[in-house]
Amino acid sequence: MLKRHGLSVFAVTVAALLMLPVLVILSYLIKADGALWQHMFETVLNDYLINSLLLLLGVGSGVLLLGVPTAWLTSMCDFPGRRWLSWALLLPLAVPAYIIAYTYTGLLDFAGPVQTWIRDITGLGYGDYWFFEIRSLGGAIVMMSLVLYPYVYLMARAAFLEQSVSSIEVGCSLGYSRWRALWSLALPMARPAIVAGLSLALMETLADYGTVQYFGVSTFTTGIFRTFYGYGDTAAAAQLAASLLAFVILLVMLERYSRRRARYHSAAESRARADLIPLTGSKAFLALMICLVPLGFGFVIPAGQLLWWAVFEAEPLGWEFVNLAWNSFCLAFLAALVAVTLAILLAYAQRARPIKPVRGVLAMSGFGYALPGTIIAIGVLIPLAWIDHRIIALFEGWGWDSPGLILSGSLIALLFAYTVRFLAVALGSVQAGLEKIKPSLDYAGRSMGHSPLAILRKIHVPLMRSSVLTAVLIVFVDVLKELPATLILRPFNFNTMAVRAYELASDERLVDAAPASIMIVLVGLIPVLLLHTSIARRRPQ
Amino acid sequence: MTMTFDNSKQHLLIDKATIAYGSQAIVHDVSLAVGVGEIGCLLGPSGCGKSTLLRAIAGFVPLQSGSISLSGKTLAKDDFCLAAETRNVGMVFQDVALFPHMTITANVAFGLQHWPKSEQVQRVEELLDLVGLGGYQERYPHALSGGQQQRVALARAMAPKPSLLLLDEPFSGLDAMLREELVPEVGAILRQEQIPGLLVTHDQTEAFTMADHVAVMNQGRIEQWDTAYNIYHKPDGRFVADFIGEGDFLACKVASDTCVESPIGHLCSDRPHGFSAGQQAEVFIRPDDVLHLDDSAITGRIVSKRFRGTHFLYRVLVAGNQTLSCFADSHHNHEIGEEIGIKLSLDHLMLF
Repeated sequence: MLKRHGLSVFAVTVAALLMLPVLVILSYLIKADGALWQHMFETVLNDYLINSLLLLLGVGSGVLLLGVPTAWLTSMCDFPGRRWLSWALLLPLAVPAYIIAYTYTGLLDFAGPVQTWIRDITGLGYGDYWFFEIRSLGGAIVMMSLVLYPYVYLMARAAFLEQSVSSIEVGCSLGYSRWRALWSLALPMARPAIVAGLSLALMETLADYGTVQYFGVSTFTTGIFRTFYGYGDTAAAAQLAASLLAFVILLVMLERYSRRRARYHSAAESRARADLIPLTGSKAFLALMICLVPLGFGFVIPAGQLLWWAVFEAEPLGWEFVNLAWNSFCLAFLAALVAVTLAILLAYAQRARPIKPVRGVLAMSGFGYALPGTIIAIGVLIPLAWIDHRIIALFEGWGWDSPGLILSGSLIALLFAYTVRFLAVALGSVQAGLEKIKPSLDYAGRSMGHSPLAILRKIHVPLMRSSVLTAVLIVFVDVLKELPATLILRPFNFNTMAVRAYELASDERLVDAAPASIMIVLVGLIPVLLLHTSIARRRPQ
Repeated sequence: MTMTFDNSKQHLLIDKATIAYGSQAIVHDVSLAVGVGEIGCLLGPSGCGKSTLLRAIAGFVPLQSGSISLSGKTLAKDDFCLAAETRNVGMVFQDVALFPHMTITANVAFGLQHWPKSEQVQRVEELLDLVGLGGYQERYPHALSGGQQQRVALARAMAPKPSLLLLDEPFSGLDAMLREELVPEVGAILRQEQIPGLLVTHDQTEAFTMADHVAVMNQGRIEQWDTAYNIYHKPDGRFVADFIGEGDFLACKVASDTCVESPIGHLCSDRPHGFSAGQQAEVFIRPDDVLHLDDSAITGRIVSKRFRGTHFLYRVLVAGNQTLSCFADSHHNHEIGEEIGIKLSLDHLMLF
């Protein structure tokens, strides 16, 4: 029994363990402390709620405004630059929101080059003129919209590309003009995909800590940090996390629902190049501008500025930076290894016995990716600290020296949190690879006299290699960019590039934060380019 | 049904095999034997258990009871189940299942891992020539057409000289033209290589073209195991009669050992039909038993017609309310509603 079901039992156990942080947080939703709620409600909760909602509303509008028209133009129309723009528009995805926020602050604040230049040419002085205050709720909305619109762009574009040509042709045959057919047919058909992309962008918005903290906007994530560090109140932090979790769950449900509908709508036959609407003259110029704005402001300007600072103005890089990079890379690699190994085991467990409990837990473990790092961190910290204190009590009871916080105070907590958050990414890639190996390939191999182990080596390993490598790479980069969970869970005196950039920015040393920032952006480009090639492969030639 | 076989002449022998997933039996108490050098076929509608039985022979599904043996060696019996890789049973799959990361040569040589290198090369070349794909050695599967891929899959399965080759609907993914060409060809190749085979299909043309013996399966049981000729002309039960080919059941009354009284007249057979006089029965009449003759005494009114190129298939109403199908010569073009003469040409009666 155990031999036959060993892998299934293992899969269910691992998935349950990964659900632990969420369950811990959820438990605070149920056993809520009334007095604590009352206090928070009277003091901070209103602020958090209103700011978070305004942020969602603003970023939601922003990403739709930037993502949908660009997706529509690059998939439906033909104009000069369409080809390279269709992948370049993904580039802002490589820039974490907190890094673009630091960059624009450096560019736009009083002492920055833009305002200095205005003063130089107008002769005005401090207080004589009005200038957009970047460190505000509005600023945070613009920053996040600029780097999160690619989610909408990506999903909308895929939907437009997959729409069947015939549905548009039916519209034309019924007397619709081409433009009207596109507007009244193509856009509604793509709506589920657009909503799915939107909910992904909004999940990232809720998860953001670096930007809102730096801009002084009080949201749930900054509230959790303040309560946790400022007042040392774990229970209150967990309750705030639980409220945030409720938002996230709504978004996840929206996303899953839309995705299902998106699949329902997709058609087999795809668009040929000849079906694109040719744009010329001023129309082509306008299309080009619409696409250049998000690309320029979301990637070219901030990346250029960071590069300039890193190369010409920042302190020369020393051993400290090497040490920082080494820490980050080791940690990210270790986390990727753990997540991908687990993903492989889970995926095989499902393939070997596609029974309901295994499929169920696999679907649940995908949930981690939607969770803000702050929620996961608090949810990891509470149970691990509890275990640590039991261990310490046990040691002291035996008259031994305290071993310290061996779980919550070490890299184990961090790796656990990363696995919770990024397993879904690894699992997605591994499962996609495994799906291509049909069971009949195994049967064919065995009927020709090869043992299951030989089949694993000769058929599975070579066929799975690229998707496993992709999974490792994506988790690696995601971990490298991750900020809030790392901030909460990192061991004492352990720094990563993301944390260092955050610390330097907090000390208003924006220029010195540039080398770490540009490094994160450059590494972040790798999965974006991978994403592009995987889409390009799907596109008709 | 029960069958007894002379075990000494049989190659593949399945004895009272039952296969179940959980508590649900997919194959019930099936017995079957394929002789040395023969090609057998499992024919039936989808979900009848034919593919499951094939997979049990290959070793991918365990038996619940009964046994399977090959050349006297037990492959599976009750809870004993020989691992698939040690059975020396080749298999060709519906979805081809070529290894996408290997060349055609590597695919075909995959089962030859214990052969000396030079013999491997020779065998691969020999097989690719046999399936008409010499010169494709270094290509990858994706560069081949569907028919070519299936030929490679066949070559790959035959390469290790299996003592039995299983074919799981290998032609169902191909278009009709290609199937027409490939089915007899594969049969010929198997016979040439003297590899006994067992084909699973739901297409009777494929079954009749390739197989020496056909097992008609329904709901996990074998309804009839016989030659193609007998399955068509002497169906064992209503299911087989109905599933194979076309035809109509006519209510009739048994008149004697060899004759019945039917709405379209007194019908006689050249041999006893096994029913006793006075019994109520149904006689099964195939369209090829009903001939169209302009000057026949019996007439029927055409209710529908289908032109099939080589002939017409008319549905005619006879004796008030009985409908029969009738093949007519390609030039006998009649209109719907017309009365045409028909003549029954039965050399035996199929009674149920």
